[in-house]
Amino acid sequence: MSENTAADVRAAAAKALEHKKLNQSDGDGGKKKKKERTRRAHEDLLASYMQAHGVVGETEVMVDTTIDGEQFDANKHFHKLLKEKTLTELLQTDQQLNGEVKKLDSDMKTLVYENYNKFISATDTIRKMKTNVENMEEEMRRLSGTMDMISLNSDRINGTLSNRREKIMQLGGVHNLLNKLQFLVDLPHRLRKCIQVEAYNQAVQAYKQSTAVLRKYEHLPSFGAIYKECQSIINELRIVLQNKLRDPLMNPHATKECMQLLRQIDEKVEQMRSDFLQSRRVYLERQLDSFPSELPDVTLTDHIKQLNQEFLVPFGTFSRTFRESFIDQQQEGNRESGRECNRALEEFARGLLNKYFSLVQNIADLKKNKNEMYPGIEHLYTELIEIHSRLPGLSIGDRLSDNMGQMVHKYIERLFESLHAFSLSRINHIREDISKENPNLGTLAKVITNDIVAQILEVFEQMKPFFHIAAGGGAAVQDSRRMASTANTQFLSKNANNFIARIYVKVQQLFLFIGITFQNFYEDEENSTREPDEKKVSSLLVMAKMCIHLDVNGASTVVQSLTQLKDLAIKQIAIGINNLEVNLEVETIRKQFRASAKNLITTYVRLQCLKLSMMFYKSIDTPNWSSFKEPKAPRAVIEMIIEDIIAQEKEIDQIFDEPVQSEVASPISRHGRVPSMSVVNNITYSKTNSKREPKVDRNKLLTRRKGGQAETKLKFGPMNELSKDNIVMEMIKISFKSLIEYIRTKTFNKYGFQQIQLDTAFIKTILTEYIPNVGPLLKLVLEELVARACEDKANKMRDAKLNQVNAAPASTETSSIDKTEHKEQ
Amino acid sequence: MQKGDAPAVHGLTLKARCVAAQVAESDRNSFWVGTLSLKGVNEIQLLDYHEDDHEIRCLGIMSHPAGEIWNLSPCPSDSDRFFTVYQQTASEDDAKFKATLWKCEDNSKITETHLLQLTTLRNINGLIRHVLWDPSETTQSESLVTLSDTCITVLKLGESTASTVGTISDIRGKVLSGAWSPHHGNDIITANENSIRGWDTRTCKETFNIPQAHVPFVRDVDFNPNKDYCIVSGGDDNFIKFWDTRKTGRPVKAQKAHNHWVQNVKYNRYHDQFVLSSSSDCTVSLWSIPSTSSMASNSELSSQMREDKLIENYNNTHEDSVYSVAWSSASPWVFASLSYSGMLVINQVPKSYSDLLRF
Repeated sequence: MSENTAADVRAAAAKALEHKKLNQSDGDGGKKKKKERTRRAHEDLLASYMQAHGVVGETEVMVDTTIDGEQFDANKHFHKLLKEKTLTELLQTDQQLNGEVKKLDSDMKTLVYENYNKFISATDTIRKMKTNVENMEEEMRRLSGTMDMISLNSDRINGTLSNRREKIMQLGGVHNLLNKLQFLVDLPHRLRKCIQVEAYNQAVQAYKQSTAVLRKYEHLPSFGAIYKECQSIINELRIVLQNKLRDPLMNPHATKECMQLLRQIDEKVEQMRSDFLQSRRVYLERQLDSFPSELPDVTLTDHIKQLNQEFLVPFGTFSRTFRESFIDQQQEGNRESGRECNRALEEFARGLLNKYFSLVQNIADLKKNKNEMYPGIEHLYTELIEIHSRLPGLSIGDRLSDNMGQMVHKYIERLFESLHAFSLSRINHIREDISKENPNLGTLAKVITNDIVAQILEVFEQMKPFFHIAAGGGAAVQDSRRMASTANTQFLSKNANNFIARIYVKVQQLFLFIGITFQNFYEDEENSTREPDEKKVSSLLVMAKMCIHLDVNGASTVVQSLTQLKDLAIKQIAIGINNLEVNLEVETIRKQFRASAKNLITTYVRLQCLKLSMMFYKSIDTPNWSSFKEPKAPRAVIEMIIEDIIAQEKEIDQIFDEPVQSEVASPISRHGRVPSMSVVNNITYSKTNSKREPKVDRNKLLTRRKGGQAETKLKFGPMNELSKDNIVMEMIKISFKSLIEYIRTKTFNKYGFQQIQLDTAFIKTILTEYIPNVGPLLKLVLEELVARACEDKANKMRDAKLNQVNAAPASTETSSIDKTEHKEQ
Repeated sequence: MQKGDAPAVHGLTLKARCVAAQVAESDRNSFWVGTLSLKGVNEIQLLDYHEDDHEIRCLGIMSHPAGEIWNLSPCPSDSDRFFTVYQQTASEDDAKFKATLWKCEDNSKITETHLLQLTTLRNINGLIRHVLWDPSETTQSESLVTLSDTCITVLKLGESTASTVGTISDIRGKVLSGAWSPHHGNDIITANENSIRGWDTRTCKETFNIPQAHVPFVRDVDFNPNKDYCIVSGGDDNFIKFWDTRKTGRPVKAQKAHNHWVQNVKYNRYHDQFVLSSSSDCTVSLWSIPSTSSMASNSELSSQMREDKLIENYNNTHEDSVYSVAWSSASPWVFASLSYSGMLVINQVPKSYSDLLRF
């Protein structure tokens, strides 16, 4: 049983030890863990206690096999061992247990011994203490006696000294007062000295310290005098400071200090404010005035940067100082004057900024390289926005947008002005171009049109950066762009509508201008009474072709890329531009050009016809038809007319780009008249590469004639379509109509008629080779002639067919009447 | 379509060049028409247009065997008398142009009307083109002017003969047409090749000259009946131009009128903003040109009437050159045009215009 108890105690001790260790080990571990452990330890302790008192009933179920276990039952264990183990094993166990018991026994002995030792040493210590305390009591008694003595002495001394101390205190007070008086009396002197050495700050401090006292004792004459003197000195100081404030060359810091001091000496705020603004204005204006508006070899951006360094930076500083010194220090209740301050500042800013903008405008104007415009503007805007953000409350922003908008507008305007000038000079030079190089008119028209269109597109390209923020553009531009992108978008989104609309209007104006230029040109020709200049007439054709180009291609190309520009702007800026209602009516523009083309062509035709008509007139008017000899060959003048017609046809051909038939062999040569027609020959030779077969055309002609489809009358009307054939036909129609008219006013003898018929037939033969449709027309002319001839008194021909040059009786008498009815066969 | 908008048409069998209003007739819209034929016997027809039934009636056909009629000049005071300028076909002289004063014997009997030859002008140099009557109504000794290609001759018409009063031979260019001023009894204008010239018939001196008025030829000129110094001209440059004879440097207004030569241009005798032009492009144009007319300063006109514009281009009726147009002397709204093929067409000013001016 003793074994059991011992084991129990040990187990409990072990548990406690373990518990302690655990507690130590997680001294700063989680509290939860600790709590749990404590709880378990308590349970263990409780269990061991209950076991020790034999309250084991409940735990009997559990059979603990380990000796150190809590519910270890020695008997049960013993029985169990007996039951389960062999003899040897039992012996072994017995031995082991014996060993363990012995060991425990010796342990207990050592423990007892150690405790006994400690007890002995404690007894010794207590004995020693007892003797020491007896000594100390006597010492203490002596000390208290001495202390009593000391206090007695001290009381005595204090009593003797107290009288004097009071006196000294009084004297000290008088001394201080005298010191103060001395300071006051010295004050004027001191202030003067301070002012002399420009230590204004000290002066003001000193003055401020003493004013209250002085004012209080002002009624005493001496103080009053000092106070007055001080006042006058401070007034002097005030003037000095005011002057300093008014000096435009003062640096901002000193100015600020000045203002602080002035404020301390109760300077009027309004006065100070206006002084400040006045001097700063003078200063900044001086800065602006002295800034050069033209710096060669400096980009616009750098130029503006320099300017901003000179003007905008100090401007910002001043504005801030002003704000700090005047507006921010306003008391809550004093809103009225705060507003006034703001107004003053705004006025100050407005004047200066206007001047600044006009200078910037000037700078931009003087810059040759317009490509710098965009980065320049952007930079400007960035800096201005910055100023703006630092000075809220000022309505700089709006004015800024306005001014910038104006700059951009002006920029756009300039671009278009140059376009106008370019187009005008190009158009005006057409005549020179023609006479200089004798070029192909069609090519010339194309080149000029392309030039103009390219120039317009170039301008669009130049305007792109305004709307193109995200991508593209030069690297130099991009830097500033990245910086400015937010600001710029802001700026643009506000104004892009405006710009786009402006650009649209400008494009429309440009087209209108080109149209008007053409119009002026042909109206000039129409109204001139001079002999038309051949080159000028040709230039009409070139212009007509240009109109056609612009109608077919140019206008739509321009409008297309304009729309692209707009789309780009919408994409980039996105805001507000959606409801942009600008549209260029391509159709209207095209219609305008079509009309111009038609007018130009009409004028051209008229002028050319005038030339032809005159030749016809001379051919009819000059000879004496009454005594005309029998005709043998077409007259030379007719050849000239043909040459002329063919030359004009060639000219029109160049413009309308239609290849003409390749009738290499001169048609005239067939009629045996080679030498004089060399010009015609040359022209004919040059017309190679033809697709048209003259033969086919003749056949067509024949069929048409057979079918009786040919026109029966010469009819004039507006040209439906500007094609080469139409124009040439119109020309021929008009000039031959003139021929008919001339013939009608004349009376011919037989041979005269024959001559005319021969001439006409000759023209017809040759021209049908070139201009197939001319056949029916000339037939009309011939019919007219025949009708006339049939009526003619001298004409006895029964058959008025052309080629049958009738060998009529050679009666040269021309005035016999032939009233016989002649019918055309 | 309203009555009067459609043209009334009368066809002649022969070709014709000239139509003229019976100037002295103030009750009927009657016109003289002369034919131009080499082969047949030429004739003169007196045609009457009734506004009410919109018909043309032939009042008389008078044969004119003397030759092709190139021009007709009715007497302004006597409705029966008129001059013809014709190219003689029967005589020995080759292509001789002559001017003869005729009297129409009887207007009432339509079937039998004769022409009584009163006077044939003689001793006229050059090929005579035109005879102008003095429009001022002095029945005693009427004044005449003949225009030929070499001279202008001023004549006094007596009982049976005409006596030459003066000759202007230095005319610088063939005269194609001319007009007598309704404002100043002595002034005439002529179309000399490409220039327009003014003459004083008393002194036989040039009063003004508009060089290069139409290139190459001025075909016709007319005086504004209501506004002094204003004339209109038409020519081979297809333009009609309005001039102030005091400012000959440039036209007051120039208007491209046709696609071919302007052959004839006539002011309306009553409303001078209406101008008629005919052309060898086979069309006739009616213009409303208030800006150069006496109505220019009249602010009561509606905006439609104040605007210069082409009222109508009659381009479907004629098939050949229209050499001659004439306003009726009786009605301000009726006019006749004659094409070479012998078609006489009578139109009226569109109602929208005439109504605005009727009082």
